[in-house]
Formats: sequence, C-alpha cells, structure tokens
Amino acid sequence: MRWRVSTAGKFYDENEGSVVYFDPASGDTHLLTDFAAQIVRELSGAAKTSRELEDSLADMTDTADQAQLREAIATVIGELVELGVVHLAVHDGQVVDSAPA
Amino acid sequence: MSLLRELPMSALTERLASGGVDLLIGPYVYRIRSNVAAIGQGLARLYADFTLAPNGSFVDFDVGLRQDTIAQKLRGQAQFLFDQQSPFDTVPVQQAYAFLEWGMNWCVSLHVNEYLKLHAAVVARKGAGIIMPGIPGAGKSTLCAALGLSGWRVLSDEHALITPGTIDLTPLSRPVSLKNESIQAIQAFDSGVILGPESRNTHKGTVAHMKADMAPHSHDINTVPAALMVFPRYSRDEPQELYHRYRSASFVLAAYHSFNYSVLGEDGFDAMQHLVSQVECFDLVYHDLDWAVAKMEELVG
Amino acid sequence: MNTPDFLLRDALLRPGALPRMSAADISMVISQARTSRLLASLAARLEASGALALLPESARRHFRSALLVHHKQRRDLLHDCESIRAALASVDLRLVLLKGGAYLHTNLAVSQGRLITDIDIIVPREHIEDAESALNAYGWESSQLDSYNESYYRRWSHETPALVNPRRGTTLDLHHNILPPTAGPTIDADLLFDSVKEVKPATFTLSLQDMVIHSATHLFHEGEFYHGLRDLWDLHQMLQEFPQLDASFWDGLVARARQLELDAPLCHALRYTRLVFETPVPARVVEEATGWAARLRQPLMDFLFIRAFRPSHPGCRLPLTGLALNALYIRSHYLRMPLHLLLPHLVRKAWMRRKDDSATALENK
Repeated sequence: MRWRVSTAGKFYDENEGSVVYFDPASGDTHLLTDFAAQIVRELSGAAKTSRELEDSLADMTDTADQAQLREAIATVIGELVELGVVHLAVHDGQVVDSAPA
Repeated sequence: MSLLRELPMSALTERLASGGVDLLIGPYVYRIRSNVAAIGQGLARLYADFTLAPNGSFVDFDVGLRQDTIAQKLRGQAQFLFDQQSPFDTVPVQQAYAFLEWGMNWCVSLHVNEYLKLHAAVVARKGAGIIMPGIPGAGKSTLCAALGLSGWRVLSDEHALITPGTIDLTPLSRPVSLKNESIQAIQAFDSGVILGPESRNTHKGTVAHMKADMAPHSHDINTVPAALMVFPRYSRDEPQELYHRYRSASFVLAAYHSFNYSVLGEDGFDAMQHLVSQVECFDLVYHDLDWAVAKMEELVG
Repeated sequence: MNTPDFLLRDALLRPGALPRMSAADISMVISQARTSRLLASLAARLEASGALALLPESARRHFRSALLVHHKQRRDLLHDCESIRAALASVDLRLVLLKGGAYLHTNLAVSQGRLITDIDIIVPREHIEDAESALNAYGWESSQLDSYNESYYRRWSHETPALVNPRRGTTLDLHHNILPPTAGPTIDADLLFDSVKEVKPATFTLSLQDMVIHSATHLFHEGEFYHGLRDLWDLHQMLQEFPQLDASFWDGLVARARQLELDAPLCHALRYTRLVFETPVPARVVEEATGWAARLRQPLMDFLFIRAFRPSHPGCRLPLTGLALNALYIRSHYLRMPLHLLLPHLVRKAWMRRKDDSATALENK
C-alpha cells in the first residue's frame, strides 16, 4: 500500500513544534504536529509505503523502537486520510478514492 | 464636507425617513434609512463626528431599519433592510438600534473581499496597530472600549481589514458594541462614556453602543501597520497574565475567526502567513480593565 | 410588447456602458445585481469586456469581491463533485449534474460568474436509495425532517430531502426527475439519461438542448421568483451560445421539448428571453413553439412575467408587482400538484411557518 498527497500544499513553519498546512485540493487549513507535517512533506514528492516512511522518518525521531515508530506513522496516516490530506495511491500513480468517512 | 452633528435633529429625522443619510464610514459609504425614532437619536449621539458623503456619491451599502406595514406597527416590529430588501425576520422595535449596528457589520462581513477580514477588534497607539481577535464573550469589545477611553485610537471593534500581501490595517471606525455586564464595567471605568440607545432582550442580551471616535484622527482613512496580535480572554477565575503565543497556533485561530479566509483560498493562506510572520502574538488573560490597559501600554512601549 | 428598462439589464447587455454611468447609477446597478444574485455574473461580463478596469475603485472592489466568491464556489464544487462521483461509482452509478453544478463544470458562457447555492444531481429513480446510502457513507448526511415533510418528499417530490456534508458545509439535492410526479406532464427521465454528455471522466451533464429545456422548466414551474431574473439570464446566455457550439441546436429543440412534454415552459423561455434580453431566436422556432393555447394565454402571462423578471428592488417594481408575484406563486404550485394536494400542503406550510416564527420568538425571549 502506497500513500500520497494529491496536490502538494503550502506550509507555514516557524519551528514551534506545530506547522500550518494549506491543502489546495480541499481548501482546508490544518495545524499539524512536526511529525505529521514531515509525513505530508515526504508524501508530497512521491507516493510511499509505510515502510519507506519509516526509513525516512527514523532520523527525525529519537525513538529507537521501530514498532513504536510504525504505530505512530499508522496513526498519523489514519488521521491524515480522515482529513482528506493523504490518499491511498495505486501503482500507476493514480489516486484511488479515499475511504468513506 | 460637513459632519452629521451639523444636521439639526429634525432634518436628520426627515432625511432618514425619505432618501436616507449617506455617511462616510472607513473606506465605505453607508446609506441609512429609517422611520424609527431610536435610530435617529442613536445616530445623532454616536455618529455626530462622522462626515456626510457628498451628494451623488457612490453608495456601498444601502441599509435601513424601518416599520413599513401596519402589521409591523401594531405588533411593535421593525425590519432591517439591505438593498431595500429584508433579508431577515423582523425584530422588536425596542431592539432596532442594536440590529441596525449589527446589520451594518453584516454588510462588511458578507459582501466585501478586497481585504482579508478577521473577526477582531483593532486599536492603535503611537502608530502601531494591534489586532485583537476573539470569539464572542472573550472580552475583546470591552477591552477595546476601555482602550478607546484611555487615549487609544479604535479602528474597529469587529473587523480587522488587512490588504493581502501587506500588514496594512484599514480603519473602519464605528461605535463599539457592549453587552450585558460590560456596559456597567465600562461605565465604572469611565463615567464620561457616551452610550447610545440600550436594546434589551436581544439574542445577545442587553446591548448598547459606545461612541468610540474620541482619539484625534479617528476618521483618518490612511492605513495603520499592524505590530501585534493579542488574543484577549476575560476570566474572573484565572490569574491575569500576558504571554507569548505560537505564531502557528495564532494563524489557525485567527483564520478560524476570519470572515473570508476560506473565500480567498490560497491567497488567504498567503495573506495570513504574511501578516502572522511579521507580528508578535500574545495571549492576554484579564479581569481588571485598568491592569489590561496598562499591559497594553507596556506592549507598545 | 415592450418592457420598461431597468439599469441592471442595460449593464448586463452592454457592460461597456457601465463606466460612463454616474456614481449613483453604478451603486444602483450593484444593488440590483446583488438583489438578483447577478453581481458575479455581471462582474464576469465586465471583466471579459475590459470595462472592469475602467470603473472607479470604489465600484470595482464590489465586482472583484463577488468574483472571489464565485471562484471559491467553483473550487468547492469541483472538489465536492469528486467525492460525489466516487460515492456514486461505488454503487456503479454515474454522476449526472444539473443546473449550476453542470454549468460550472463547463466553460460555457452561462458558467461565468454564476453563483450556486447547492449541488443538484440526477440518478434513475430505481437507484435513488442506493445512491443515497452510498452518499451517506461518503459523508453526505440525509436531512432530518419531521415526518410530515419526510413523507411529502418521499411520495410527491422529484428529489430526496437535501443531503448535507457538514465537514464541507455544502448541500446536495438528489433528483430522480426534473419535475415532481404531481406536476402535469410525467417526464420520461430515461430520455434525459439517454442523451447525457460526458464533460470530464465519469462526470456528465444533460445535452445542450435538455439543459435549456430543464432550465426553462425549473424557472417556469418555480414558485419563488427571487431568482427569476438570474434564471432568465441563464437562459439568455444559453440560447445565445449554444447555436454556435452546435449548428443543429435550433433544429429539433421544440420537438425535443414536445417529446418531454415540456413545450410550454420552452415557449415561455423563448418569449421572455426575447422580451427582456433581446435574445436572438429564429422566427421559425418561435412560431413552432407557440401553440394556439399559448397565444390565448399570452396577455395574462406577459402581465405576470414582465413583473417577475425585474430586480425586486423598489426602484424597478412596476405597479401591481406584488399581485403578479402572488399569482405566480399560486400558479406554480398549481402546476406542480393537483388541487386536492395543493391546499393541504399550502395550509400545512403556512401553519408550520407560523409555528417556527413563534419558536424563534420564544428563543429570543
């Protein structure tokens, strides 16, 4: 399963631990944690699997526990899907419809 | 250019009832029509220092508060008019003045998008503009009134009008709306306060408006640069304090309380980012107006 | 017969003349346009003709503001339709848009500056429940109505009670036909589905001819004429542009309307667009559309509609406008429903409205 952001959005980041994110697809603005914002950044370039996200986010977090990181990513992805920021992608790069609310 | 105060009461009443009175208010011209006595009295008291627009001016908002049918007169109801239509249900005539003021706010809240419009009071001191966003009941209007009575200039108690891509605040000076206990609190703060007609039992309780253009240059139409964003919160139970708040959280809260942030879309995000990145943001928890005014004085140095 | 002028019509037809009007007249045009929900449409006309730049800033900012609202609605609509399309696809239905939503998905002239209040879609009647539950699953909630209104809708209406997406703040009307089953003609909705056009992948609108016929039907069966002028302007724009897009547009338009049993509203549309907006309609089409019955009714209809198709601004009201609007309200309810249904419904509506008023009044106490 690969995740992606359909249209790359805009960030307002003052290094405060939280980041403002504008999603041009929905027109919604979200306040994200640094961690969630990093996931959105990672997925804005190209679709990635949860495993690939684990690799790129390992440096960012100080959690040594891989299982904990995996769980955190799954939770945040779930929330971002719910908000319509992140979508499930398929191999040819087409966006698949987000899961029903 | 003449001021409203130069118009005798009889002439004001007659003009309100016929073609309407055109007033320059901030960047707009309002045409006000009414055949309700309280409206003429309230305008004479609170808008005395506003300028009458020259004949034949472009009119931005044609508003009214009238009793037009026999049924309305019998039932003691009046209606707000915009573009000479009545967009809302009638209201008790005793609440007419509050509804006119409310309707005048509504025109700006709903119909113009040349500015990023935040739901906020705006005041200025020594050339520095301070935006005070707040949910209803947070005490922004009370603090705004107290500042207005302490030598500050009131730019608006309802709308921060920011030109996108700048930090420029356009003044839209009008009377400040006070509700319930705030009315006594402000009378206790300054016994010389000038209040308009009291409207009781509105959906917000008792409402009265305060004349707020006491500072020199109150009707100067030039913009004032924003320096600070202060989120006031009235609380009897908490210690009074002033502290920094995160810009990101301020951004989202101000956007949430904006009238047209989402209408502007990506331009709204850009405008808000431009603003928030250039102003310092604070939370102000208060219950004593003297203390709050002193803290605000400190902020502008 | 001639219709007296009003400033908004002049501005819509000849936007280039607006910058030469006096400040007071420009305020009046804006006021009339706002009242008629045509401010953004006029703004789009002004922008396209270059006249917007010639207006004083005090006026221009109102037009720009209205255009910003239109752009926002267009963005929201495109986004919402994606979720509606996906919901319908999940039960193998296709998205067929009606009215404003259909216009905004095209680059038709009628879409420029067109404001919408909700999204209208149509699905075959036998699939309406599938569609509704699929939409529910995608975040579109069915409105909670009291049991009277609920049963009224289910039995007698051509649409389900509105669906609302609380997260997006938008409203969706799900139709299975373009007129309620109680209205005189029973429209064979399959005919409409047979000629839909795909405007983007898996998104459809009615054909150009059906779009005009539907717009006319909607307008001339409508009880409330607050948007009457706006809807007539839609028709004017369509009748002007569609013959350029499709050389055979006029051929068969009247026949198509007859096939759908909607020739009466089309006849009205052709008459009043010409009277109010000087819309060029070939004489043979007018002739073909106007039956003897229509000719007989014309003086009365002219009296009623000429009054309805003006801004409801006091400055533009002709004598007896109130009477004409009331007559139209009753006429359209009569068109929609047999008389035995009409009376209880109107009474019930009036009674419920009174009840609502007192509830609000109490709340304010």
